[in-house]
Amino acid sequence: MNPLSHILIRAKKDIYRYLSGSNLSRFLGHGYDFAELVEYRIGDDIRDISWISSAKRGEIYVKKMHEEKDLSIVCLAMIEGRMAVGNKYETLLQTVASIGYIAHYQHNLFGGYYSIDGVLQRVAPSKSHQTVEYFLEQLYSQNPLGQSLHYQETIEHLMEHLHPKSLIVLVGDFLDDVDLSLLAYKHEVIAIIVRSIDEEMPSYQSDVALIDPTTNQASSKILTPNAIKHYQKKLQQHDAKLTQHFNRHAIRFIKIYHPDEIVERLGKVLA
Amino acid sequence: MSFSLLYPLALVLLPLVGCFIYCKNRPKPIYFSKPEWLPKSYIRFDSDRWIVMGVFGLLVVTLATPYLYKPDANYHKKGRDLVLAIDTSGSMAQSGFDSLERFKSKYDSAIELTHHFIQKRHDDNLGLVVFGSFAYIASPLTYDLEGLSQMLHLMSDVGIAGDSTAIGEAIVQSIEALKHSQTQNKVIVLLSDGVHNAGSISPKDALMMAKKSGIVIYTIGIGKEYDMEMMHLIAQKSGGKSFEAKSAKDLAVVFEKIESLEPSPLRSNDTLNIQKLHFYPLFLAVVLMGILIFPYPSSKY
Repeated sequence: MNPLSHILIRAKKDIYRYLSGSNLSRFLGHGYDFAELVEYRIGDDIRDISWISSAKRGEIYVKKMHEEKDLSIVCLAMIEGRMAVGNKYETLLQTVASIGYIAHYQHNLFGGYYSIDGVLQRVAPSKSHQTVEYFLEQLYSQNPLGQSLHYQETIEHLMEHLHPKSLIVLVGDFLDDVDLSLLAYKHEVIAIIVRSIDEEMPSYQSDVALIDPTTNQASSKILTPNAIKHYQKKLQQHDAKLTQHFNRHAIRFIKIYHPDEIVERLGKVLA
Repeated sequence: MSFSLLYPLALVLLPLVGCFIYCKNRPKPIYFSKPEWLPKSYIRFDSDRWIVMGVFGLLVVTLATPYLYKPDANYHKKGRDLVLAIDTSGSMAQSGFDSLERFKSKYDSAIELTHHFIQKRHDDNLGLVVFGSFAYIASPLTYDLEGLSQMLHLMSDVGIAGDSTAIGEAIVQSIEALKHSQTQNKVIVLLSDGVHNAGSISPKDALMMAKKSGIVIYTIGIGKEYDMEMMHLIAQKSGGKSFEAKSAKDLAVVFEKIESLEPSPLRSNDTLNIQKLHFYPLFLAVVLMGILIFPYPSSKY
């Protein structure tokens, strides 16, 4: 089986099984709130006729509901070289597929963006599962190695493209500084931080040459036990700053290390 | 104390340690997300490689076998190669030789004084020939004075080589014991109380052989019944001296006289008081290998 098909089937299976437990029903429910009973008029959908009320009153009545406005979910896959570290890219693809299927399951609009060579690419939103699959195909065909992403420029481009208020799901490793304040002001933003364990807790290895995945160039830096301690301290400081930024702008966020935990973690942030 | 190496040639392997730096394998490339968060490091301190280099170096040093020794005990030592030929014929069992201990036999007094003599021969190679009806080498030339003293008691006794007196054979066996001697000053101390009356070699022939080998014979006649003339002749012809010891006291004086003879430098390359040090680098190498096998905790996060 092609790895992409595997990702899609797995995401579909996990999401549908999970949603059957209705944990996400408040946010993604497709029920309609009852508004009033009105007499049938030409043009009304006959499926809305309340047969019990009509029988009682001798006239045809239809139930009018507060129709829930369609939610537009926009997923920004932040593809860059660092995604090639460990299984991060697989986790990113699985996460995007899961979000797409949740949107499809809930009859919401789902669209996506990704940036390649500094150019923002768009997958038009729709309620079809084919959009999810197409978006995944596009992402799968990209090689993240050597790609660098300018977070701020990408966010600015995204804001130019998105006019209606949307639920924006940013999927990336967030290892660079990013300012999401404006985006969070205009839209509802969820950040999904995809990281690998080895990235957060690198183990000491002798005789290794470090390569920067965003440039594909060898780094002059050396991995020693002390250097690892220094790196972890920097990472902690960065994450503390990031958390503070997310909290200040009411951005919900989760961190995912492995494809196995995606659905459960998404449930927490989307609930 | 001086320092030296038993197998210095092993050190030719030491330059190979440079191979751990210059002949290293191509390092394994790994993608690292944020190398810019790693500190700047100007010296590549790869502890594992340094440890391996240390282990290699220490093992080479272990192979070279370093040791400490006292040079004074070696090259500047004076001494000679000396064989004691002791008569153990039946007549040596006679007592009354020692005025203080009347029942002490001539043999016992001679052995006791010989023992003291041996204890003072720190710079000499000593050998021991025991003779009676025949002669044999009880101990070859050795520095080991303790061992020689033990051999003196173990390998000799009155009558152990028969009751007669084979002086000729005693000299020949002594010459045999000195055959591998490298010193120029070779000495036989012949200690006898009797008359040559046994053996297939006459003292005269033996003396000629000794002269040919450049061996000096000191003779000590014990008691009053020995063949004084022959003993004098042997000493005189070989370039030595003949002593007479009528009592244990006289014998002690004779040994003192022999002790005062001028020693010659030894040509032996053997060293004394060697303290081998190869266990220290070996131990360190094992410790370092332990560090490699059981890395310190900071390497495991």
